[in-house]
Parts: sequence; structure tokens; C-alpha cells
Amino acid sequence: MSNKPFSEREFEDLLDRHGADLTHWPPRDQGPANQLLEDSPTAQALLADARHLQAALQTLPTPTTPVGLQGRIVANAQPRLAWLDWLTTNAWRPASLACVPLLLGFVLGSGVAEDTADLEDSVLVAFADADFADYELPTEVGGDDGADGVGDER
Amino acid sequence: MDTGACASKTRDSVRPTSAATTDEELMARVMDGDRDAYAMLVNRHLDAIHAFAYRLTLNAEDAADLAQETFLRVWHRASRWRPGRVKFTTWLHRITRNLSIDAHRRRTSRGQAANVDVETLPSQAAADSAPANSELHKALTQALSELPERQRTALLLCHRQGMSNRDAATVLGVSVDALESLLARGRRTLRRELRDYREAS
Repeated sequence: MSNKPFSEREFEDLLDRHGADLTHWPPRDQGPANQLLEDSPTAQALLADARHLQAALQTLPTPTTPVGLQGRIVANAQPRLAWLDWLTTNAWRPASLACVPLLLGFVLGSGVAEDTADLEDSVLVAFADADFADYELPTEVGGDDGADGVGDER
Repeated sequence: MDTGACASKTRDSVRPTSAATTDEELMARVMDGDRDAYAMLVNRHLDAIHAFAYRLTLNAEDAADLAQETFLRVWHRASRWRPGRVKFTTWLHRITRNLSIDAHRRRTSRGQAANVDVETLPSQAAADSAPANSELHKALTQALSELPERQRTALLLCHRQGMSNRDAATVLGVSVDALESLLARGRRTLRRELRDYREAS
């Protein structure tokens, strides 16, 4: 059980979340709540309001079920057709079968896309690994940031 | 399979519900088309579902239609219920709530306002209660009706239908944490409304 005292704001939040019956609160919150209630008139007023609400909700009048409603409901339950029951119960099976070509196409399509992606990656890797030192790249006259003897042409 | 024997049965003529027969056992029979089992389920749960429907719609006629439609769904879609995954009562309330949302959407799309009759709550308790309580209940019903649908339903499930937070969360299709947030916001609004009401009166 936590010993950290609650603020009135925290108490109000927990009151709205867990209701007016403190025995239904998480055990770790019950001690600090009772502690606050001993000292705080505000907390006591909040709890009184919450209890009032709970009592009012529980004593709301229950509407009377119309006479004859049950008879109508039972009378409207017509015998079900066995084949319709089977269809509604097992409708997922044909639907699943119908989805197989779609799924297959998606998988194949994804596979092709994946191969292409691999190819692109492999080309990039090949370029990255290539040793360009053997190639003589054209350099601008007067360029000063080149390597390999650009300055030799001056 | 009993296919027609119950067609003319009324509420009074349905045989008494055996407490020993669970909802799950009755539903197993309903799946096989047993109308006696169906009648027992209706008998057992109609009052609770009708009360829930009334609190969702705040209209006596709509509540009766909603309750009727809920049980017809149970009859026609019994095979969709999976015992062990969700309680029968949770499934039942979920059907009622979903049908209520559908009806509300249909009304909204047709530009019709909800036909709320808070003033004429048809109840035995209303006739017996003191005028002060009656006024309080009217104010509370009004405040409830003005809450967002999910907050109102969360409060009704937990405070009126006697559901656990977990079952109420299943009905709403949210996590328990989200349900507690809905309850917190709903309670806070109602608590303040009631405090204002008390101070004003």
C-alpha cells in the first residue's frame, strides 16, 4: 500500500475512475484516500457527491416491459431453414476459398517486387565497390581540388 | 426439433425458467432450433434488455422495437455465438447496443431527431416514488441523455445492468482502461450536474 498522500485533484480523478465505493479501488490507493478523507472537507464533499450520484443511478426507475412483448418476440421466431443456418455458419469457407487466388497473386507480386529490389541493391553495391582509380576522369583546367596530379597540368 | 408449438405462447404461458439451466445450455438448444429454449431465454433476459434499450433510446416504442429486434437476432444468428469466448448476456447487450447505434444512424441520415420522452417514463417505480425523487430522476435522466453515447452506455452497463468493467468493455468493444476513462468522464459530468441540481433546488 502506498504511503504517498493524495492531492484533492488526484482523489477526484480516482473517485471518478473507480466509483464511490472505496473498497473497489486498487488496494494501494485505499490507504492514502482514507487518510485524505480524514483531513480534507473538500475530499469528503467530493465523496458525498459521488455517493449521491451512485445512489441516484441505482434508484432510477426501471421501465415496465410492455405486456405481450414477450409473446410477440417468441411468436416471431419462425422455424429456421437448416441450409440457411449452414450457409451463414460456414459462409467463411467459400469466402476464404475465393480469396486464395487473390492471396496467391499478392504473394507472387510481392516476390517479383522483392527480386527487383534485390537487383537494384546489387547494382548499387557493385558500383560502390568498383575501384575507379584506374579510370582517368576529365578534369577542369585550373581545378584545384582534384587529386592525382591535376596540378601537374599547370 | 420443436418448430411451431410456441408460436402462440404468451409471457404468462412460458414455462418457468429453471435456474439450473444455464444460458449456455439454452443457447446450445436454440442453435438446434429449439423454440422452448428460446422462450426461456427471452423470459429470463427480456426485462433487463428492455430496460437497457429504454435507457439507450429514452422512448418506450423504440425500446420495445429494439428489445424485439435483439432477441430476433439471437434466434436467427444463434450459430454465431461462441460459448466460452463471451458470456451470453454480454453478447446480448452488445447486439442491443449495436442495433441502437444503427437505428440512430438511420434516423440521423433521414434528418429525424430522436424521439425522447423523458417526461413519460413508463415505470412502476415512477408511480411509487416521491415527487422529489421523481424530479431528481428526471434531471438525472436528462443529464444522462446529454452525455456522449459511449459514456452513457458505459455508465448504464456498470450502474444499471450490473456488469463488471470487463464485460462492459466487451460490450463497447474497448479495453478495460478505456472503459474506466469513459466511466470517469461520465461520472464527473453527472456528479457536477447533480450538485448544480441540488444547489438550485
